[in-house]
Amino acid sequence: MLTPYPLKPVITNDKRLAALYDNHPESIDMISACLTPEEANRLLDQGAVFDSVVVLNGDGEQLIQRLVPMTEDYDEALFPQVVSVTLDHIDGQSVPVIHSALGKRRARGFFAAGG
Amino acid sequence: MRWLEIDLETFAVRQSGFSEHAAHGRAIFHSGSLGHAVRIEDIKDAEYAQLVVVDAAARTIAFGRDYLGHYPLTYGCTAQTLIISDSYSYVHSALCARGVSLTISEEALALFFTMGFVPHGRSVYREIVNCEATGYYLWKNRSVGRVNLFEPIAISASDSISAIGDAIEAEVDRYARQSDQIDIWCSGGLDSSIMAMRFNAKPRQADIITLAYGHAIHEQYGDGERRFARTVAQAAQTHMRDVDLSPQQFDRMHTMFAETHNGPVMDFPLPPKYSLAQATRDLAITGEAGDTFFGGTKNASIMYAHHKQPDASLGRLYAVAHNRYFKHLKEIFKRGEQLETFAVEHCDKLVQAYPGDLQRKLFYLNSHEKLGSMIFAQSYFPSQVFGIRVRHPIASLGVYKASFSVPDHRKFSYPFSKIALIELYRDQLPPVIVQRKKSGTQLPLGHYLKHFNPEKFDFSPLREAGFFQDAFLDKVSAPDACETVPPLLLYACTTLNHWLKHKERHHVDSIPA
Repeated sequence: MLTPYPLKPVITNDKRLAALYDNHPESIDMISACLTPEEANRLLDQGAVFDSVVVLNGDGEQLIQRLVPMTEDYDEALFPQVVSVTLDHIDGQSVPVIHSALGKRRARGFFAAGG
Repeated sequence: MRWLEIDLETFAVRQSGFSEHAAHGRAIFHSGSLGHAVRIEDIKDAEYAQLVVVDAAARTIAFGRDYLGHYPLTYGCTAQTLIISDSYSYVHSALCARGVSLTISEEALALFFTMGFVPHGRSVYREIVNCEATGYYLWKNRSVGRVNLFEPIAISASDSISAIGDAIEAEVDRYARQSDQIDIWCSGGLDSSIMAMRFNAKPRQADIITLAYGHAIHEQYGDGERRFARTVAQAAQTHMRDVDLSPQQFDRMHTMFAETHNGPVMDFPLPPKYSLAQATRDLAITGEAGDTFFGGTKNASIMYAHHKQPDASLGRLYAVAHNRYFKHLKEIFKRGEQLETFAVEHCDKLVQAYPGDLQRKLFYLNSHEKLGSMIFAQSYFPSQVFGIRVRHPIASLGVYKASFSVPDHRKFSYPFSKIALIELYRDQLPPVIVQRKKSGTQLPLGHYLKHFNPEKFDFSPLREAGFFQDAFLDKVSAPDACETVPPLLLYACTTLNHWLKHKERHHVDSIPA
């Protein structure tokens, strides 16, 4: 059994962001934390699945190939949502920007999910 | 509707809708399968039933609903009369007619914004109680107390899940024999798809009914979950009927729900369930309890948060995990800080009330709090309005006992949910149904809100309650609220508001001339 891991990881090698992001209460409530590409790959090897993935500043681009098909018209309901985010610099304001990106709805998100 | 009024001096009973018999000198009033009942404890083995036992000699009245809470029951009490009914409005009116001044519970409203519903054991008004399941209430010596009948289930030494499959199949078989007009309420999610397949295993035959949103929405935005239901219908080789949920129909059903239900509910699949009930021919089957007995969306978030913050209050984690507006109570209520503390304490008590490790507690919590407070009522009230029956084979007592008898890791292993159901039914389901991510019911809620009757945005009842921050009410009642307020929060406010408005209007109507 896997130890609880972030279902909505932010893929980055930036340790400063991880320090700001991982223990933010909103990150924990969103089941989100930073993972390096290596950590994410290791989790996938162990059978982990992700709900959504933020690829930050291009870190872990290769990881996307493991997460979703490399075609445009794949069925989004069957694969994690992958969001690319670019930040010019990392500071305290980066955290809510990423939370907002994670909260963004897919195209199909016109239909709110709940209940 | 069923109601019963008992004179607390003479123990004379006036009632309507209950069946009546006598046993051991007691007058027994029951609904559903409790024709054999001789004592109140018989509700422990009952499903879809209510029971009232009047013992004039002992001067006691015991009443309750079935163990899991398939059927609702509400009571209110004055010095002279105990009023019991499945209709909240009946109890409300009966109390008002006797001069009882009803007061809105701020705490109940805080729980509504925290959990999405007012949990059983209380209601929006302090003087009216929606009875908790898993126990009964006893009027004695001029006060009402609750007797808890909850019993933990021992985990079997065996790792086998076959007993779960047997229990589900027994339920399917039972209901398949009861009607030749069965409609499966199928979203294309795992649980309802299992029901659709099993109720169409030859020689059984059942239709699938699913939600459609009107041509304009489908044209512009796609079809939500409908394609999955269509896939299931094809696999089951059965007929699929669409149930219209155009914005106008959603508004109509929302009004009906808010005027019928025993409390406000934030979960927006409720109006669709009235639509589904309206379209049902005779017997509706749902997949309810797949989440609560076998998975639960709250499990992953609580397990993760607890792992990251082992010292954090489990009550707080449970409150947050509902993913409603617990973290916004201070913006919503004038006494938001105190209400936040109250909500955490309430949730903490719930977590502590159940035995076992955190995972076990969560399974009990999900099963007994959400089902009995909210989920079953979502079917009961529309079934009464439209004169149909709704049954939940996965949410039977037999499946409940079988599911709690297996080790929890056979059902949930972070973050994987419903492991046992998938293992049992994977080969019978279209692969896409097993592979798709859990989404919950998908609805164009923001679009629906824009088509609500404008009267629903007159928040006078919320303002008059006096509990809400003016800035919050200004925000949700602003002309551009549909653009600026999250749809679920706006829906919650319109629902609570309309529910309160109807009760006030109903009260005025019911005052004798």
